[in-house]
Amino acid sequence: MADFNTIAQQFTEFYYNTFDQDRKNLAALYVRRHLEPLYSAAIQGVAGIIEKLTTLPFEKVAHKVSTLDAQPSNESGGILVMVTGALLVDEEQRPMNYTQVFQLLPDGSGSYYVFNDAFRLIYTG
Amino acid sequence: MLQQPPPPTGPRASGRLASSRFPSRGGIQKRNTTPARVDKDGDLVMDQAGPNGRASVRGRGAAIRGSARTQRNSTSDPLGARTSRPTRTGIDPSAIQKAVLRGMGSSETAPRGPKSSLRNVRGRGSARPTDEAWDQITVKGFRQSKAAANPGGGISELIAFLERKATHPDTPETVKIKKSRLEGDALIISVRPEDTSKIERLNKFQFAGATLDIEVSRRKTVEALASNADSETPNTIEILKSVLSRRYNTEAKLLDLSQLGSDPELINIGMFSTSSRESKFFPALMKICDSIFTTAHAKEEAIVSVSLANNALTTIASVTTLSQTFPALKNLDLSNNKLKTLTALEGWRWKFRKLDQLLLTGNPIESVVPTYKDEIMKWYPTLTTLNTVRIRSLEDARAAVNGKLPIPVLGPSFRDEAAISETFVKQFFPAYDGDRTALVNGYYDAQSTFSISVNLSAPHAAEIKNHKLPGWEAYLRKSRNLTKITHTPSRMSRLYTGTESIRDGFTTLPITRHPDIMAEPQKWCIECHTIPGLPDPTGQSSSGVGGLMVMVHGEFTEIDVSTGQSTAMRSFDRTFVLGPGGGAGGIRVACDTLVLRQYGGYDAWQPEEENPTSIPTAQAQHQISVPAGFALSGPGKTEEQVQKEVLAVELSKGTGMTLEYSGLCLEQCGWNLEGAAVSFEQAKATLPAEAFVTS
Repeated sequence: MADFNTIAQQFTEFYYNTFDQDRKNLAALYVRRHLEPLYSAAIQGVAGIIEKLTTLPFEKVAHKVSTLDAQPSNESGGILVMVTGALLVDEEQRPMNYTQVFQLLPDGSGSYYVFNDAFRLIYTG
Repeated sequence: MLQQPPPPTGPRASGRLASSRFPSRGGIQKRNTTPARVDKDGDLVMDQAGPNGRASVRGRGAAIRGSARTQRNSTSDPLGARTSRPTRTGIDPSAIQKAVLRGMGSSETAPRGPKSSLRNVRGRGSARPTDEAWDQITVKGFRQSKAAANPGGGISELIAFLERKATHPDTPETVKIKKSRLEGDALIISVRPEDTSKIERLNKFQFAGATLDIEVSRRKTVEALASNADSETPNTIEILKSVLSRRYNTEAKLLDLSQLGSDPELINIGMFSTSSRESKFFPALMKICDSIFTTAHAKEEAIVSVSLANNALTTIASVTTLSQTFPALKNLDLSNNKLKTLTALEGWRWKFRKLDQLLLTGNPIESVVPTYKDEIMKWYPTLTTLNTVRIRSLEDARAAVNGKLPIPVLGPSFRDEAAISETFVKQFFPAYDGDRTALVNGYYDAQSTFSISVNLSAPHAAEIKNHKLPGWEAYLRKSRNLTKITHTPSRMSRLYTGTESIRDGFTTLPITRHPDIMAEPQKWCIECHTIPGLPDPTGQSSSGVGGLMVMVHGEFTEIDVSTGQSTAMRSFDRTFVLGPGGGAGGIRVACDTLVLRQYGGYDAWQPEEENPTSIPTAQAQHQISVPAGFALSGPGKTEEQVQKEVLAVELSKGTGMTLEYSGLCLEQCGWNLEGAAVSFEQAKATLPAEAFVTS
């Protein structure tokens, strides 16, 4: 079994690749009901999250991760993942800097799902 | 596809006013007009003057000759100069011209002459209708897929997969692979140029368990045009440049690409003689525009407005490259085309981030989609004028320009439990500045973890540009950035676990001073969410107890202990996981992750002011007393029940209703929190007093 660092790293790579290619496909990561806000608006449930993600007002997006850190966050194998990075949308030349914190929980079958996902822009120039 | 335009109108035809409703058949087609004359050097001579009286722009080697000098006098009376000009687009030209007037700066900002770097290839009158019209794309990696064992090696499945994935579900244009052939482990496919990017996007997609490698091996644009060339007519590229210069109005900074299908110079080189040639025409034209300007700024300065009126466009697909070449365009005229739906315009949704005026009059969309204006307003937050009607105040548009964040900034989302995290944050940072040893003893235990990482690529705020940026020597040896630190022992040694280790970590970091949260709240952004499954210190709940995830963004200064002077200013992002425990206030820090970066100020989290109602803030929340164990996992409680209870708490906090009424309301709304909040708003006036928590 991979350690939490490796899981966090694989998750982050997968998450942003999927986000940048076709964010609809992120649904698979949010398999359970969600109670937590995304993009600071209370979005709930897989459908709500995907709706929110797909209606964000840009088409092309590219994330670049600057830092990634992870810690085990609970007894049952949860992982706290903290990312800072920059993203470029559409033709915008100026990157926006963000932090994104994920709370990953094991789904019982060896995989993980996203329980919390908190995104915030931290520098917008 | 550019369609055949209405019969020629305007000055280049005969000076008549446009009448644009003539039926046509497909393609920008040659019209029966006097062909452009070629002088004895083979240069084209246009016998009609441009809008400013410019004439005879020579095909070969001609710089764009503006009218700045000859028309200098007109700047004192620009409107007069314009009204004396013949109408060319068939619509009220004053709108776009007024728009252009506003954008007018120096009339001397003329584009540079053509660069010699473009290949000099001769154009020819007609094109071969062959697969040269298509782009070629190499697809690899499918041999490793499960489908490779299928009859035919899974090729037909792969093609079907690519076509399906590349086709946007909301558009009628399906992506078709025109041809395919195998070359070793690669499948070479041919697609229409407009579909290339859609296929390209599928790079690294999973196909039956294998990762696809997709690369464009042959792209058709200017080169394609050029490759069709022979020596019959002058150089295609030079002709396109000539077309551009003739259609460019220096003074108005307007590139007039209206009625392209009846442009004799273009017809003369057979630009629209086949659909494949036609599809390459506009992208090639845009490439040439790009090549003329050395910087984006120069392009933005020189071309403020573009007209694509009277081109019989049914969709913008054939001209979509306009938004790449002119992303900062201010005014766009699409009037008198055949645009019928929003889908036809969708390629430009969210493009043109500075668009000020848009003309869509004379398109079927006006009657087919009566609400299109609302949608267009959303697409272009800076748009002030649509079809010559003011739709948004300058202030709003300016706010959109200044804000210009494609992601809305909302206020902090603060979902605290009994002010636990609020209390924690208020105590934590002063203690971190004052006495870290006591802090560790108070909040951390043997299982707590702490780590720090340094984001070296985050930008710094403009106001400290002139100062020397502080270095990171004191932090780098501790930085646990997993994208950089890949060796497991190094990773683990940088994860401080337990009080002793964390204390060592804390006390070897520079002394800090954080701003006072109460006195300077604007310098802080604090968010808080609930999380499940933390260890229960009492051991009663095997599935763990609820906790909080607290995210803090802010800044601090570093202090030189000997002098007491501040030596550096930095920004930080810090996330804690808090759970019940033996520390101060009955809580413990389970996780503490800190990221440091150059000081970036605090503007990023100031919410946009125009929609304060959408901001869920702590102030808006009601104090709800929650029975012990409610909304937490416990023996004999299903997860579904816990989730329902959590939802009820959330709704009660937002509405002030009792947990019972919140439960009832949620039940009616299928446990959808947003739906329940909406139905509460509708029904709240009719609810009995007992539905609410007494405050």
